[in-house]
Amino acid sequence: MTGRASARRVGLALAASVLTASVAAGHAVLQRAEPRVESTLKRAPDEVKLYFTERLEPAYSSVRVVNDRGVQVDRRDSHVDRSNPVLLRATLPPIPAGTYKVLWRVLSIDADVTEGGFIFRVE
Amino acid sequence: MRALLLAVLWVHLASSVLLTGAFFMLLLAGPPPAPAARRWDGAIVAWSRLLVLAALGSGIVWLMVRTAVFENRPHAAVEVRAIWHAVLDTWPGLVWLARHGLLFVLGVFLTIRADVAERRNWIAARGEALLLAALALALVSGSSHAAAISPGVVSAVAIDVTHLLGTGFWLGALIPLALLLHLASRDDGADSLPYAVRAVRRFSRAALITMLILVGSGVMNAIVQVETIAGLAGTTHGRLLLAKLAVLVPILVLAAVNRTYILPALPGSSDSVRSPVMARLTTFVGLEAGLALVLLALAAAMTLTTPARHGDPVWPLPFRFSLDALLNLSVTRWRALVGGQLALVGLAALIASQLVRRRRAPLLAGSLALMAIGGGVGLPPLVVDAYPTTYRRPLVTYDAGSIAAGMTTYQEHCAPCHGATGAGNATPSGPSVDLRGPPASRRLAGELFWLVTHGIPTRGMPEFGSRLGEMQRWNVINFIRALGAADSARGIGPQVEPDRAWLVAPDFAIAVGPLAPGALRDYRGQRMVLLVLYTLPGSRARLAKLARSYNVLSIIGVEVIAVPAQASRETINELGSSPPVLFPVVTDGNADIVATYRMFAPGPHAELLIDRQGYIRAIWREDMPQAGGVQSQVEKLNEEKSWPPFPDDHVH
Amino acid sequence: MPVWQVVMVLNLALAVGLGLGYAGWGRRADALGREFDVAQARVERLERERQACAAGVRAGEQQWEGRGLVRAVYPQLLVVTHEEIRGLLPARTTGFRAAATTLRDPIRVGDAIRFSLRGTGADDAALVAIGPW
Repeated sequence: MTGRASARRVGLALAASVLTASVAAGHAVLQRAEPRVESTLKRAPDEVKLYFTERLEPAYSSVRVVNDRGVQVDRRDSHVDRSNPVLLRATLPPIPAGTYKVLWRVLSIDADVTEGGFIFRVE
Repeated sequence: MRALLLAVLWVHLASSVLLTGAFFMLLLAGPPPAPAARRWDGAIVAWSRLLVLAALGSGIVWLMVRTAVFENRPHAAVEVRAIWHAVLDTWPGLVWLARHGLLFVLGVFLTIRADVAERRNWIAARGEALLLAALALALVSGSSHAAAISPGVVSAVAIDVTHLLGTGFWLGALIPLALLLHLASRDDGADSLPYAVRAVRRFSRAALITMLILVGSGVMNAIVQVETIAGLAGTTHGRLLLAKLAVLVPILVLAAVNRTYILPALPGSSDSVRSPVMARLTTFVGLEAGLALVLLALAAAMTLTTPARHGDPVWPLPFRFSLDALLNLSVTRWRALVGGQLALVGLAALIASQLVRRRRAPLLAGSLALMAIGGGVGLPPLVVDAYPTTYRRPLVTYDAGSIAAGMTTYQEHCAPCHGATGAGNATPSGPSVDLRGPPASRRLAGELFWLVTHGIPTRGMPEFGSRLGEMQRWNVINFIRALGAADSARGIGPQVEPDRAWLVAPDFAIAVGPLAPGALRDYRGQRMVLLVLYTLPGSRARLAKLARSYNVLSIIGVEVIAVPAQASRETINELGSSPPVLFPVVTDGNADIVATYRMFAPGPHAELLIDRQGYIRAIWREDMPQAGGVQSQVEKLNEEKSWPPFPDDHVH
Repeated sequence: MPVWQVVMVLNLALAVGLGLGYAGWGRRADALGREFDVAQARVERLERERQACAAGVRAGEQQWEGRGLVRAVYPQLLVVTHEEIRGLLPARTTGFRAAATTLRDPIRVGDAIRFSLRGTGADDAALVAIGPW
């Protein structure tokens, strides 16, 4: 009896000293982007590609590119890539030199919305 | 909005967990033989109907709030079209639909008053309810953060489902158990006392197994989502986890006390005499159940916060423990060793005190004292200063643009005191630190950031937080890391050392004319890169040789990237067309790449061999490679059997 | 009906419903996705053939557009480092055959060009027009 009781006690003590975590949060965070964050480019890019840390929900994930006056300059075709669920992309028409802001708002599969933005410059 | 979401999520999670636990407890206890037990059975079923309503109601409110968040406008919460879209066109919506469908079926099933006098019918009815409730609970992980991980979704979701079901079977069953014990310890429930005692014993056995499974799956979850001590102490998510642990400890203590002291003291199954022990058991189980509800609230809060692995930890203490401090003095090393040995002996004595029969108390006291002394002796040498930014991740990745910008900032602001090469100078307030080696190279990037931002007044270093922007300061830190790496890289020569990859190649953009630029990073895992920094006319003969052997190098897995010191519109034409140069030649951003890589290999012509994982393995500095020189090193790299992991994008 | 029989029927109904749902819609959705990819590739190929036909070539030939940087110039061959040519080649360095008339204007190594290719596939695509990027 004492052996079993002490074994149980040790087991409980061990268990108490170990972590328990429940369903942990996972929000989609921007991992990397093309064009790179805060980069200066010689030629205007054809499209913006954003790679996130979690899989995205196409129905509510979008990105847009605005110029320094706040006017949207992309082709309004932002979509989650069919073959890569962490990639969000939109194409751009030829744009003049200047500073542009990329604004994104994504919903990841765990029903959490994250948003953010960064700038890039075209010389 | 967030508070509402948290409250609704807590109600929903608690209802689902309690539903699962209720029917698990009923089945564990078995078909009720006596009137009091039957009353308990009926009460649990009646409460379950209410729980289903609570779960459905909170689920609907959750959906409405979520729709408003998805669409980014509060009115969407009450628009049918928006909710329809959110439910049917998103994965979390479909999971919601499946779960609430199951809950609805469960509700209807419970409403039907069936004849459960026969044992078979009773088991079927309670078992079906358990199945529906457990399925609804398990499907929570279908739209959880485990489901958003890629790759490795299946195992992450499996661990999550195990954790959820464990919670349901253990924590969820506590309230029904408390109710049963309460009924059985009263005068009018004495006929069910043996039934209750048997149920408690069965639950105790099942709970141990379930709890071990819970803890195991929790550890695996934590390893994936929290990852580091810094994340645990420095992010909201991690601190919520610590709070959960803090609440778990009293639950486990209560459970342990129940198992070891109270349960053995219960009257046997054949006894029907009331006992005050029952009342105490009821109280303790009730306390456990209350704490469990608090735990569920913390769990719900955790699902709404960014996981620690994605966040930037803010270290809360003014110190931290670091094994690096041991490298300085042998005195501290001995102290740490002695302290460690004492603590280990104390731990062994602690374990021994659990296994012996006699003299347990003095052994226990002695072991605890030993461990305390060992900690007191061995831990202080490990203490180093820490700042809130110590574990922050740099804002910029380790790439040539950042390093070159950092170089400029450094030459202007830091070189006067620290020297142009980072080796340190004599300054009015004493000699400055050599930035290339320890202790500066052993400090974490976040520590350097704090020191640069706030300065070290006691040693005469000014603060730069007001003079340099945040990005500039991180650029300088990247440059300092590159300085240290270049200093250590003097040992890397034209010969590859097999299985020794440590020098990270800074990333850079590869822009060939107007074509869309790639990056060095794109070659990771695929091809090796021979980076050739050249100047004409000295490098012409070597470039011609490379052009001729390019196809062989390509076949054995090497891409050649040529970077001239100066680029112009004539760069590619200058190389001539016989033989034609067909490998990429960088025409934009040369200054940054050359400035960075000349730190590792000065001179007008240099070649660096970068392996498939992104490490620099061979450097040809003054002497250009002989015929076949590069190829033989590439073959050495091809023969390596195990590869190091990819380097991190940021410095540490 | 005894409760246990009700329970059996309920579980059976759930299982059958799930199975039918998957068989009826799940598999069809997968197959539709695959068909869509195939159809898209086919449409693009027909587009190219139609454009080529409008330019007056033989039936079955397609026309592609590309952009790149010239790396080597020979009388009947041009080596170009180009971006992805959709429907033909990924981004790489390729040598393209050129009709003698196409290379009338002097082209130098290092020029950025736009070009058109005509042919039935990667094996026999030949340059037909070159212009500045």
